[in-house]
Amino acid sequence: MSKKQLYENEIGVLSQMRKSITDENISKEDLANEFNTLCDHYEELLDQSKLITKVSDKLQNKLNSANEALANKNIELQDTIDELTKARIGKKAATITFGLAVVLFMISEGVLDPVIEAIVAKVLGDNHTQTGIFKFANILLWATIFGKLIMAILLKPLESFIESYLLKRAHQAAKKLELSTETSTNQS
Amino acid sequence: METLELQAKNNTPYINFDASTGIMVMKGRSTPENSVEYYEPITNWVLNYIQSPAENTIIKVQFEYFNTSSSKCILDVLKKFAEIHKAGKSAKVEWYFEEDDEDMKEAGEDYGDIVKMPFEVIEIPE
Repeated sequence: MSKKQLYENEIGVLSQMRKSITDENISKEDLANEFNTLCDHYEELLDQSKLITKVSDKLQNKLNSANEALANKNIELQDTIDELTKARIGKKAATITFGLAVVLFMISEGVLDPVIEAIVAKVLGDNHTQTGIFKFANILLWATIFGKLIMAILLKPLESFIESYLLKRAHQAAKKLELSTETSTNQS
Repeated sequence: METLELQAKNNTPYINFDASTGIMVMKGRSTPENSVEYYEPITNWVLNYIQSPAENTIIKVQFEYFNTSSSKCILDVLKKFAEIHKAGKSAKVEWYFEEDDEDMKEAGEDYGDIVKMPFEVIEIPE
């Protein structure tokens, strides 16, 4: 858009005045009248310039405020997305940990317990007296409880480890996506 | 005289100039790529209208935002409407702004100072 179009009237007035100045036949009175008209137009143009500058600055403020509000909303949105991602990953980590707990429990019941049983039986040897059997049962009970307790204690750190691993992967994926978006924006 | 109606778009305002009622509405956002081209038919319509205006002309203006070149075009349109008042007929501008929109309120007051016709700045409650 050219300024010539926007200020067409004003440019017309200026051209008219220039023509009048170079006109050798124009009377002093007519020239004075032309000059008065030019002054009126100049005053009007000055008023317009003042208004447009003022209004433009005010609307720029409005635009800045809108941009600021938008930036704040973006930060809020990013925080919400981060929290949602964290919650989703936390849930995933809990599910994986639960699955691992079930597998470990089955390993404990099917593999570990018979192994402990065999070891305790070997240690006690042929002591099949009532005291010996009681001792055997007691050791077996405490050994399996201890084994399961160790597993239970390890579950929480395991969940945290899985969660941090999944979070790291999610951040890497987000960074990768951001980079590819930036590259495609720069290319276009 | 036919009513001038232009639907609002992303960067142009809604225009409804009704010669039979004398109610003129300019509403929305004005950031056209070429303001002069956009406002040319509007200005031409106003130039025709002021030849034989309605008994009462009310120009209702409600902008959310307008760019610098639009501000000059809006001023030109309002100045042409002011000719009606100058000719001794009833004409006034109602400049509406949303509550808390101080910038648009002040813009209206600035226009009111320069346009030589009754000019009212009205707040729209939320």
